[in-house]
Amino acid sequence: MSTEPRSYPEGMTAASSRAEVPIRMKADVVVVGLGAGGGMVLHDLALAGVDVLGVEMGGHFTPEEMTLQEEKMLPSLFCEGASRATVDMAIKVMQGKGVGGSTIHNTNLCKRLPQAIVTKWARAGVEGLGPELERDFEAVEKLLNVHRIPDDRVNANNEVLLRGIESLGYEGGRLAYNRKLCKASGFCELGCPNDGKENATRRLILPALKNGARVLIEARVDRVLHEANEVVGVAGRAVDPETGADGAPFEIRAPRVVLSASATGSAAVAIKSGVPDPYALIGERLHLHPGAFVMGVFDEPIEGWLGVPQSAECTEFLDYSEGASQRVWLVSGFTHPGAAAGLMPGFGPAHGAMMGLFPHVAAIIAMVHDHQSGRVRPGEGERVHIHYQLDADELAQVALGLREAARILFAAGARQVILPTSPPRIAEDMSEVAEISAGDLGPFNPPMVAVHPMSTMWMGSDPKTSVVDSFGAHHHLKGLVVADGSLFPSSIGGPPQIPIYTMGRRVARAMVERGL
Amino acid sequence: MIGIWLKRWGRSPEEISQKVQALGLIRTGQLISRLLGKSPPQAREVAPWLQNILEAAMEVMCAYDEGMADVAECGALEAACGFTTGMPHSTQEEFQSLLAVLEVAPYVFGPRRKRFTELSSRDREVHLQGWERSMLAPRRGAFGALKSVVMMGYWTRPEAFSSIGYSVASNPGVPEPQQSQWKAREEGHNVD
Ligand SMILES: Cc1cc2nc3c(=O)[nH]c(=O)nc-3n(C[C@H](O)[C@H](O)[C@H](O)COP(=O)(O)OP(=O)(O)OC[C@H]3O[C@@H](n4cnc5c(N)ncnc54)[C@H](O)[C@@H]3O)c2cc1C
Ligand code: SF4
Repeated sequence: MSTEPRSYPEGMTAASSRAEVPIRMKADVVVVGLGAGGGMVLHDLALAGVDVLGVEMGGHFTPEEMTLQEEKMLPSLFCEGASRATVDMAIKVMQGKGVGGSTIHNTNLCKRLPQAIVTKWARAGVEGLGPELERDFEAVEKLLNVHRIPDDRVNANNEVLLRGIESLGYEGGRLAYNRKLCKASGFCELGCPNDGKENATRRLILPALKNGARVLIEARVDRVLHEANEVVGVAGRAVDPETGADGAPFEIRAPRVVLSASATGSAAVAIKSGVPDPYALIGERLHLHPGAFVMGVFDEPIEGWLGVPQSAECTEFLDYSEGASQRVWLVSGFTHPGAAAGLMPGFGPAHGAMMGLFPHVAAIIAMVHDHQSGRVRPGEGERVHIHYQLDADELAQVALGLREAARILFAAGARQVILPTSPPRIAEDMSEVAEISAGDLGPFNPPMVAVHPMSTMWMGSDPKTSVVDSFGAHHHLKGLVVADGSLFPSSIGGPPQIPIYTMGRRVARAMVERGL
Repeated sequence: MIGIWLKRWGRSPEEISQKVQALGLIRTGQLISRLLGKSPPQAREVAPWLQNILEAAMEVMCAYDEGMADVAECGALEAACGFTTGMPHSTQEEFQSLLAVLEVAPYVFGPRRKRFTELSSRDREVHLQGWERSMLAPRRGAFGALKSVVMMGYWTRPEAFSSIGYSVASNPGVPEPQQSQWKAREEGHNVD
């Protein structure tokens, strides 16, 4: 990143550039974290004329600053410099940092909450999930320019998945996305150089600034301040964008605080702050949608790094019901060489030979709609401790995902399928992987990646079994509201951004209707 | 000397691994540094002796066929170190401590009672395979962390791209100024 002094959109300031120590500010509402949930709350409150201030730990990046260098963009755009993982390091947890949060680098797939999940949440006591939720989905999709992915945006990697599921007669197909100025560069996960995404930054936060919102960036909130069971503000530290070192302390006085620091960050801040939690719920119930990559080698070039990275899914093995025996979402996926090399099994010459096949590789991610859960606890600074280990039931789902991803790749014409198990399995036909089961798998076997942390401060009407009410207000601490992936009472088994944006809208509207 | 010290610490790899966990990775790294008379792990700068260990690992992990970029010449070490400095300070110290542990680990895990950087390439490979396939979860976790950094350092070098048919400069979706910057990088000019 450039070291030259830089300017920001009006209303946005960097904490490290402010002269006063400690930094002191005031607002009617502070929004902590500016990703999908926080971006929507900032936007809707600003448009409602509320004095709202967003506080974001990361920086603000323009399309010109997206240099497409993996080794530089990953640490800049991801929490903990892209090193976040479960405490046993077996599952890499990728989460965004900066204005726009995980929507800066996500792959823009858009889906509403499945009806089965809505029904489950309603049964668990979440209110307002009827026609009003449908209306909110529609409005959010319109605002974010969500539409079906056009034919010419399906790249060769995604065509493989579509071809495979068609020949097997599996359910699935093309998805919807929120892109407009996209030039199909394939760099979504490293930040778009074309401003092609209709993400939280472009559609919500920049418009919110034009409507009077303020944003403080490079500022990490460490505590929600509260007195006599009422929120009075937040406190934290400026973060030096070059060195990551803590800078001047800040304190922002506000009677309302919205935690939107993601399903890991919000719970971590709440626990650090000693938010009342009489039933010890905060940080529990963490879902991750852990996923494993399966690669197929084709005779023809695939060049999966070119074009829109994700556009197709297979839902044949995705059953949302309680006790379901098949809970795997299969979606195409690709990464650039630095990350891809980390996912290819082994090292040394054999690994090098596999990298030589890179242009001929198509990849599918098998993501588990996880019924089991883990927990998150705060760490030092931006670090969080994620306790989550796959049990036998979940490993059985991983095995199912590996088998079916392999079957789809073979059906699409792969001459070889690489399963990153330990030791790696390089199969020439389906019979070599058809028997793989939970007993063959374990921690690091295969290496897993999670990009959808959820739950941890979930909604419900009963204060004994939920953390916040159906519209994000904390059951026990007046003035504390939650608006991010933490709100989900369960895993949702699909891309979470549209449901999170939509929950952000519900939360903001409820705040206004309740007089904040 | 290192061998005697480690024997005092524990009799089996499991016992030593448990001690490392109990003491904490960073304190173990500090202890090893002191024992070797080297500067301790610290954020924002990877000390030269720790860089040597990382490079020794990279040489075997990225020891590829002829026609592929040479680890020592393509700037992979610098890129790998740069990648780690974007991590939280305590994570950087943990990663450097992991390198310190790797340096002395052959005394416990073999294949020879020598420092990692003094092993032959073949022995380094055998030793790293031990980490990769270990029954001890922390050791496998450490290997995963090392591999991510090593691969991120090597496979992000434009010099390594041509051997896998990858190019950013020739991607039609990449706009200016990134397009020109990448063209220069892929032609071997330093624009960073
Ligand atoms: C690689 C990748 C691809 C993805 N692809 C898709 C996709 O195609 N479709 C989809 O629906 N979803 C996708 N997702 C997931 C989706 O982007 C996230 O689920 C969603 O953005 C989460 O929203 P959120 O509001 O909970 O948190 P985030 O969007 O993660 O935002 C949280 C923000 O809070 C900030 N923060 C954290 N702690 C603090 C603190 N203490 N102080 C101040 N700020 C703080 C963070 O820096 C961050 O900016 C993807 C995610 C990843 C990582
Ligand atoms: S594929 Fe489209 S949205 Fe993604 S980075 Fe490229 S131009 Fe941007």
